[in-house]
Amino acid sequence: MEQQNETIEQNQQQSQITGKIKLLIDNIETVIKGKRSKIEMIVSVLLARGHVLLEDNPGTGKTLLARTLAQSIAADNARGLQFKRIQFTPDLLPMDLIGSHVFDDSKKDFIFKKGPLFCNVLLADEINRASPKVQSALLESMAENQITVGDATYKLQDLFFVVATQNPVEIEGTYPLPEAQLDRFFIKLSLDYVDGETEADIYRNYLLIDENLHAVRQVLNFKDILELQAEVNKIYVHDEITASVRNIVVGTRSDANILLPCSTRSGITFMKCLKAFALVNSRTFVIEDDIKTLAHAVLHHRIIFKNNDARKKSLNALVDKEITRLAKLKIENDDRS
Amino acid sequence: MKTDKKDILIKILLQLIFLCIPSIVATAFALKGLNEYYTVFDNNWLIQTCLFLAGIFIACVLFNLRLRFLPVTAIITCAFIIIRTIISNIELYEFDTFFYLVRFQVLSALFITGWICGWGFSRLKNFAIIFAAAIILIAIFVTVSKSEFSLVGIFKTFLPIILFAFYIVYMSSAVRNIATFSRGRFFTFLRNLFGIVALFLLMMFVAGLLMKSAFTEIEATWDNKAKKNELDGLLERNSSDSTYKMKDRMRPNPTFGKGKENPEPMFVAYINNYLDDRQEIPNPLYFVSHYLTNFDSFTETFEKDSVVPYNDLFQPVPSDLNLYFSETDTAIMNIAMKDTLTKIVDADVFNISLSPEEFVAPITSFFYQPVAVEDDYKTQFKSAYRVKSVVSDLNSAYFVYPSRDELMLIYQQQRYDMLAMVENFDDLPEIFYSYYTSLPNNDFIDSLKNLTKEITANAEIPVEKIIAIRNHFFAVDEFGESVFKYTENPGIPGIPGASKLAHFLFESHSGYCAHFAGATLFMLRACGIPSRLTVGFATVDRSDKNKGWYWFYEDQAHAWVQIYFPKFGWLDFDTTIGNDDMEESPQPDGTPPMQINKANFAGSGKIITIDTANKYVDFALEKMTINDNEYIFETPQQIILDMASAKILRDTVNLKFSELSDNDSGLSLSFDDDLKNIQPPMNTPKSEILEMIPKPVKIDEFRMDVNKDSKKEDEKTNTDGSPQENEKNKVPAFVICLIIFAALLIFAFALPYMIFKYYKCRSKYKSKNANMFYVYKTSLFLLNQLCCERKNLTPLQFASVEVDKKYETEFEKFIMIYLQFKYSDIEITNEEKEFANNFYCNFENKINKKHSKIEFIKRFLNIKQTLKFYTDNYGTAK
Repeated sequence: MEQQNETIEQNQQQSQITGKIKLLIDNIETVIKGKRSKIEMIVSVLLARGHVLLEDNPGTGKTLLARTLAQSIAADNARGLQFKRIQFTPDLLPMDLIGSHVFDDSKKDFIFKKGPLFCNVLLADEINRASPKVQSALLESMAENQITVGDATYKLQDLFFVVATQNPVEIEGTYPLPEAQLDRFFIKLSLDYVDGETEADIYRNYLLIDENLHAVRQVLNFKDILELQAEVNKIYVHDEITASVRNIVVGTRSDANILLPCSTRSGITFMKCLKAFALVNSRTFVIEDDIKTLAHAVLHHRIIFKNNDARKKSLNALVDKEITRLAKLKIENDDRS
Repeated sequence: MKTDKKDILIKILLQLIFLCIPSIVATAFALKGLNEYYTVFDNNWLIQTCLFLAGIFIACVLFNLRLRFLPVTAIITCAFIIIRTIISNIELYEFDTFFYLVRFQVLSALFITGWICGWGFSRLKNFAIIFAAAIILIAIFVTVSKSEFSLVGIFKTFLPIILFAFYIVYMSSAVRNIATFSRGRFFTFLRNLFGIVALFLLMMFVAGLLMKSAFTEIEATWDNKAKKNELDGLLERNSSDSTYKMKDRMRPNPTFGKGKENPEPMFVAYINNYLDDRQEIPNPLYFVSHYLTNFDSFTETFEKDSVVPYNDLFQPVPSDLNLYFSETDTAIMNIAMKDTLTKIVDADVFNISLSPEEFVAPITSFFYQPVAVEDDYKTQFKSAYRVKSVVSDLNSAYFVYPSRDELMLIYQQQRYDMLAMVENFDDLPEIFYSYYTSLPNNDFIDSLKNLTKEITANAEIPVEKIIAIRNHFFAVDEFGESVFKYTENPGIPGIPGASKLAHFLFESHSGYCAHFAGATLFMLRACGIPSRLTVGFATVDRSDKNKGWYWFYEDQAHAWVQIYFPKFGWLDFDTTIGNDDMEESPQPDGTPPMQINKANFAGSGKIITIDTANKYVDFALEKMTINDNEYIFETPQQIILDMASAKILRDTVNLKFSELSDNDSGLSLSFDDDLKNIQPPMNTPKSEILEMIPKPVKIDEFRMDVNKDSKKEDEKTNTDGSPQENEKNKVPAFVICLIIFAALLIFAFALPYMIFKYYKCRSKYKSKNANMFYVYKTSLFLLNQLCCERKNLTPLQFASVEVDKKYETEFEKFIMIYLQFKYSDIEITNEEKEFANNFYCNFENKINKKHSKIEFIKRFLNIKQTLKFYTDNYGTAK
């Protein structure tokens, strides 16, 4: 009886969580059409406590997506989560980001005026337009979740989620992110154009976009997100899945066409993302589909390939090999069958 | 740049070592073979190989260094033309120039071949295949031109060539695939190479072991056949029943064949022809098969002519005629009988190993009657027939050679006197005369005419000329040695393409019957004497015991000349110098079947009624032969047969009288002496002849016709009987191989379905619950076999995107449960378990609905698709 109760409880809890995530994704989809899979991935990263880099041509909805996401979890009021947006330009200075000491007349002392970085959700638009100095300031905060100014270290909020966008076509006057810094982003996504049907649908209802954006409600609060993030850690990963992740990561190291292979950290990131993605797909365990879906987004931008051909094929070949292995694998579950 | 150069260097080295050197070795091998058989090559294969080597090496190096093909080829062609003109313009003796030109052309052809090979290896992708095919072709060519067929020889030629072909094809692709040279890859490459060579050798070894008995047997039969074919240039052997037939063409070949220790007896004949009335001095006659009246001067081949003026060749079709019925060509008989000094001669021929279609008889035959062989001799003789010929008194095998026997000399003198009466051939019809004196027009004939003129300078009448020509061939030199010699291996004339007859007549003076006969024919015709070439058997009288019986062996197959004398007809004339082998048979002649059953009465028809008490039979006679006269009745005539002492036969089986029944048709024979006296004049009406026959006719033998049904039965029993037993012993290896092959084939095609069934079994019956893994695997296998492959999709994607859309199944749901079962730590619920248990049945039903039964079977026969299931296809990701 107790066991049954427990499972019922578990199921209820599970459906609650699933409901929350579904609510969030549906909410974003009211504005962004036809990109559910991408939204799922971005939400996964949010739950995995990572950051997202969106890279695509102008006008594919990067900023809109980031804003909608931010708005659905954070409102610009005191009670809820804080959302900030910074447009990166070449003349942007680190202090514009993190804040600076200003002289307070009343206290006769310098006080620290917090910059826009002190928020929960940050949209860093066109990140590659800022100077490396600014980029590294941002990236440090992303990695360490804290900011050091002078002799004081300020901790950022528990929930700190950066959505950065960059534009691959206009490279002139930009400072491309070095691979080491790209590594800080859990996933790098390109949004791609939507299919023809959706495109037409968007045209028909373009007026609604703005309207919807303004109407986007905050569906999850700070506590919900933290709960979900905690939930991610409970996701079960089978040993064979772990083995496959290892095989892929290690595989990049022995590939003659890869100059810079995956690091151990990228493997850890991959695992985190897999778990979160499983949760987003309302599962309590990771399956090979997760690997297939996420591998490119998580690993590709961390690798330096020898040539263009390898860029297209090498990683896919590794992943496909592992998928085939898993698909054919017979796992003996003696205790359960 | 530096690495590029190094790469190219390594590539060149690899190509030279692994492709060019083996090719050169193979070419040397082929060239050596070609040199043995073709004079053009002039027997220096070493130099030829060196040139080939130079060509292939230079081309390989140059083309690897990115040389252009067309300009280089143009340069080489120019050089070739220039050198050729220089050589042909050099003022040397004419012959030398020609000789050098030919040599230069051969060598340059080889160099260019080498050059093209080098280019192919370095540039063309599939050149190795072409090269291997060419080498194999050359090997086949060489093997075919070898006269000796021995299996070991063929193996020795082909095994290395085929090995080489495999090697070069494999190696060229391997060398091509080595893009960059690295130690590890090189060793893999070597390992693969040795692996494939070892595998191939192993296969050959196993095949050799398995097929050894079959091989040796084939070899034995080949050996036999080859020897038979070689032994006699005039006989050919039927492969089906190993009987002999005369060839209808003949050419003076360089070799006649090796003599055989024990020539096979071909047939035995009794010729009722004696020189005296007391029948003490037998007069043997040559046996004619046919005449070769057509001559092809280019190939020096004598052939049978389809149209001959005043044809006197009697050609019955022996196999078409029933026993004891005869065929008579009265036209031939009438022509031949016009000549003076002729008589009709009987001859009985007992066939041992002649082909049943072959008919030989002394000239000029006009009557043929197949007869039965006595039971006691049936094992020895296959068949027998009687012939009647119009034979001139002047014709005899004895008249051929100058004899030492005084009696013979008298006869020969008599014949000479008779023939001397013929002074010219003016009375002969123009067509006949010109046909039998026509000569080809060439240098050889001119010189032959001169020679003939010389020889016959003193002769005036034809017979003198003939004797002069004969004496020319029988002439002896100052040491008492004959000038012309009989040899079965006269050799080749020094100059290729020269006339072999000229070589024989003017230079070597040695040859066999075809040479002698051919030369004699042309010399006679040069004198204007009508003559023709005849093939058949020379008759040699060896026995004193059985006079008139002659045995004919394989080596007595012969060619000689017949000369036409007006009023006397065609006479045999043999100028072939004594071949001692032919005179003496190596083995004593056997006992001849002394008598032949000469049926006085033979009648075929149907039995009407049988009187069992008196053993009389009412017989409806359709066809009758009495004393060699044949009568056919349009309406069957009824006669009574006395069967009391008759032997009743069906095929070779003796039957009892009681086994006869009405409506049995057959042939009744009587050897009764009383019937001999019935000698009706030529134009007696049939009814009168019937009157002359005694009633009842005493019948000695009754041969029942073999009905078609019983024939079939016989055939069946034959096939079920001994012959098959022999075959069983002969071909087990082959049959076993065939069976194994067939079984493998069936197994291969059945394999997909068997795998499918296996998976299905595993999925169902392992435990109460369906085994998820095997359900999953069975479904995937089924889908794969139906050309719905997973490719690079994950199972879940595959299920939702491909399968469920196509077949409207719940595969996705199942996969989800399966994945949970596979990867998660949570137990699957009972509901899900139930779904999984019932899933497969529905799934298969839905899929079956989409495909027709035939399509289903077709798809399941596709082994390739099955292989796809087991090979990883991630490699093909694009």
